[in-house]
Amino acid sequence: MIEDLLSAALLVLNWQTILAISAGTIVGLMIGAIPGLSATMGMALLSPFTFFVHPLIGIPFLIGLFKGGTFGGSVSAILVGTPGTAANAATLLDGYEMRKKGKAGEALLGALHASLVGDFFGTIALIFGAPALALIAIKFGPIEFFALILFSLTMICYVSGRSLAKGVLAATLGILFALIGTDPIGGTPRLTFGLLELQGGLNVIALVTGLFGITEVLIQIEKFGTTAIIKNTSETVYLGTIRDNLKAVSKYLRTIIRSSLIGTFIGALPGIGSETSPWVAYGLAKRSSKDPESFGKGTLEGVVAPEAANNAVCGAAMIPMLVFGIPGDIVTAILMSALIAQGLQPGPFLLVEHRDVIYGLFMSVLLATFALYIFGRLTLRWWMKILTIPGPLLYSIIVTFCVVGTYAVKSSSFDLVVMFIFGIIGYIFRKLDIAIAPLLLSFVLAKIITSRFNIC
Amino acid sequence: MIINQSRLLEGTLAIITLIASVFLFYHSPDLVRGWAFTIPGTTDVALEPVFFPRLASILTGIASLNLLITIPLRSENIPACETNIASYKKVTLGLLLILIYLFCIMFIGFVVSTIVFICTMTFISGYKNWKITLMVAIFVSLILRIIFRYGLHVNLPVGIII
Repeated sequence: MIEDLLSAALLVLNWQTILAISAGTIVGLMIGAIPGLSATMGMALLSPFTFFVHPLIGIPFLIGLFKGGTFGGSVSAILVGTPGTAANAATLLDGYEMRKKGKAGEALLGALHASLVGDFFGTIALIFGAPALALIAIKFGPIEFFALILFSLTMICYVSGRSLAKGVLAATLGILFALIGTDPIGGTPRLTFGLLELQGGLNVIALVTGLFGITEVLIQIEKFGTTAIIKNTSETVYLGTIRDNLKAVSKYLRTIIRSSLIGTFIGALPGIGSETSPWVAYGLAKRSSKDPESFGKGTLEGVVAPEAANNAVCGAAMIPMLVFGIPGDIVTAILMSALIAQGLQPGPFLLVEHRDVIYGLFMSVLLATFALYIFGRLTLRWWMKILTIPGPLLYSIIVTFCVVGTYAVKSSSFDLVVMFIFGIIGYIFRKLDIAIAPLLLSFVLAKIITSRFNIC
Repeated sequence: MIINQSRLLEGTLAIITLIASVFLFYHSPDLVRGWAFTIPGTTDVALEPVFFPRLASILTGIASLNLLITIPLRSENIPACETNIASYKKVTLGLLLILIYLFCIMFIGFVVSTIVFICTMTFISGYKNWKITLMVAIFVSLILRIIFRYGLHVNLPVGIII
């Protein structure tokens, strides 16, 4: 294994991969920092760009974006009081209180240091856990895989939001959408309504960009009129003093390590992932703290615990996707489609047949951890500028990215129509308080489950 | 009052999806061409192409019924009822602009359509700095065209202009 990792290090230590990781991390940090934009949406918009480059350039870009976006979400949670992603909601409780006390800089740096440790734990779990698990998974037949995917479908209850009944309905609709296309056994057109364009099935990228990109733009259009997310105020008002205070962070090292382990464990379970682990870590940190009353009033411990946990998920969540070919959440579903577009079918045989590429990806995940720290630290003062970008201009550009990303996959104008329709569906879902994640996850899983069922 | 509206909207959704699932269950043979087709030498119903659409329609029907039955148990508001008419008007206008943009891309071309779309959308949304908007619109459309054409070797729609 060490030999594999060393040869993989040689593969990824070239300027193209390093540039891709750096670019991905910076873009992820920017996207995560803007309220309303998330790592998921960023990956949905930019994943089609990676289909046309080498896997060890395109996928590391997405990995950097994932990690950067996950940390970036804490920036708006701390500075604006709006979490950039659902994974950063727990960070808001104490982060925003620290900002009110003029300690935003300290909170951001604490979050960055905790994210670095959490990220490292998740990456180590991926590098050593995935190959070990693949040795077991390789013995699985279609029946075992069918059972495993069926089990993953039950995990949809974790991403159903406030109403399980609505989440289940969204999931069944996702299954219906997945059935559109040609039957894998007989080659018979199913639910295509005579449209030739539907015979290949719905394009997952059109679905994702519609559900996340266009929907978010429509939600933001409602709020248009206010030109910037925050007014152009002096950065010292918001950030306070920015000084690396490792002593303060090391005081909470035990909390950070415990939260990282929680994030790694929960992240490796399909479906639960980044939205649950920060709350579990926050709750445990509060319970075991010497000063639990300070939680919710602006304590650094309340910032580092959820941040370590949500970043630990990044590496760990890739384990079930790479080993079993089962995406645990939307981000890994997008990563999986990017791998498939590159001709790499996730599953136990991927680690055997494309050993060099997969170990290269492991090394990229490790490199992205360092990139996250370097760029997170260097660009800390930029966030104030990013938050002053006029909303209308930003969201008009996002529509353009949605269009370009969707069109580029198959050069199909029909996919643009699909994207538009799913943008409307996503908007209706958001307005009716129905979670979008179950629809997309069941869409991806139903495609796999039907083919496995027919082989059984 | 708002809570009643929320329940009404949820109920409407549940009834629509229920009707759609019943329709799909009965009409799935018509919607799956070659329904009679089975693998020669097998009578396995699960291999028929109509099997999964029927199963999915049953699941959707059950999920719709479940939503309908559990409506009285819910007490929280849904965002649709907290959004005012003016916001919905803005969203409709935004959707219309996006639709026109998608249409124009195929006929006029990516670059020109994108510049016009970004400028129009930004202006209508209340941001009036023309210089910045125009510069950003030209930069974004040209840079995307160059990246896709020369970097990724993908041709974006050209149309009658560019």
